[in-house]
Amino acid sequence: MRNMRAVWVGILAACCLAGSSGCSGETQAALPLDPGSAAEPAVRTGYEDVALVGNSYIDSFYIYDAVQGAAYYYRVGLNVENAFELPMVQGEDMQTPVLNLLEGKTPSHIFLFFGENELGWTNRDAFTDGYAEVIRAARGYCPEAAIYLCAIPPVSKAVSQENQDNTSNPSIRACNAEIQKVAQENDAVYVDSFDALADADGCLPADAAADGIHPAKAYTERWAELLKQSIAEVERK
Amino acid sequence: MNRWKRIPALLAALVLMTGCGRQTADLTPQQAVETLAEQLTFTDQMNGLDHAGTCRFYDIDPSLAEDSAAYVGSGATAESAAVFQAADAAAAEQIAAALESFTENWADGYADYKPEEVPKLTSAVLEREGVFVVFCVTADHAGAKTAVQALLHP
Repeated sequence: MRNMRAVWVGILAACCLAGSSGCSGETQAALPLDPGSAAEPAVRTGYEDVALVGNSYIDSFYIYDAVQGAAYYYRVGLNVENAFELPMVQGEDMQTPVLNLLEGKTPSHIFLFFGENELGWTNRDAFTDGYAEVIRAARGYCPEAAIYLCAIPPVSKAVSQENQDNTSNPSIRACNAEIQKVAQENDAVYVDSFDALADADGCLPADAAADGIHPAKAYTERWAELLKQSIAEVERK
Repeated sequence: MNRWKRIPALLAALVLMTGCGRQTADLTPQQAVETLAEQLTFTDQMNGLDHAGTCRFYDIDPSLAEDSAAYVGSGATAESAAVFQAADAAAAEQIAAALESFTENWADGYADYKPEEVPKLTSAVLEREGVFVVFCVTADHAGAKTAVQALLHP
């Protein structure tokens, strides 16, 4: 009896060793040799395949490398027209216009930051048509990249009430609606930076930015998390 | 003078020579930046940067500096303060030149967008002493000048 029991145990053990799928009764897929080839995207350790392009909002992202390893192509005061003319004021290349810095690069994700410097433009078609041109140019340089349009974040209550150069939260909301439409019409992803950074009153908290406009470190990092979530959502599709 | 009397005199002179003139600053970039942050007035929300971040921010070749630290604004203003401990005196000279170039470029960038920041840049304090380079952009130019001098010549 003991010998027979040993034989059955040996047979069962052999079955299990031959293939776990047989023992479990289920068919299991072979373990992938490369964890990155699994159904879920691999956990990112950096964002070297990401580029941020646009206006002074990117300055704080650059200072703190908030999207770790990303490329930052920007200039304070940049808008959808002079992006084709003005270079950066720091970095390796201070000759090439900011938008043209994408030439020869291969980012997988490009975040565009425009609109804040165009709030005072009375000709809104000039802004939306210009933004479409920016997208076309970016896509021309990087045809494989996903393009994202960042909404303009809110400004503080004080800045909104001052309403200098049409910089107020109602104007920003209106411009963001334009940006969202441009994104839809140009196969780009709209990133709602406004709601992500606004307080219950729809304003940037008073302690979020020294000038009430440009988020400092804490809120830039919150904004960066939104960008990373957007990337993850696109990569899951 | 008797030659035996000359030796103490010569020794005394040597001691005086080594003690005269400016004292070498004995500071670390991190401590120096913290001192500047405490003593000066900045209008922006400022945050500290480590050595790598400092070189990146100012476009300084990291091989030129053994250590550095900075205190920089959010981008809302051009305000910042930085201290570099260069690899040697020649490297300190290169860092200083790079910071002058940085100042010019930033002034150019802010001229149209936020012209009120340009005076801070054109009156930036840039001092070099041995291997140390200290740079400060703030509206408090006089205070910055005094604080930087005190750092480099305690």
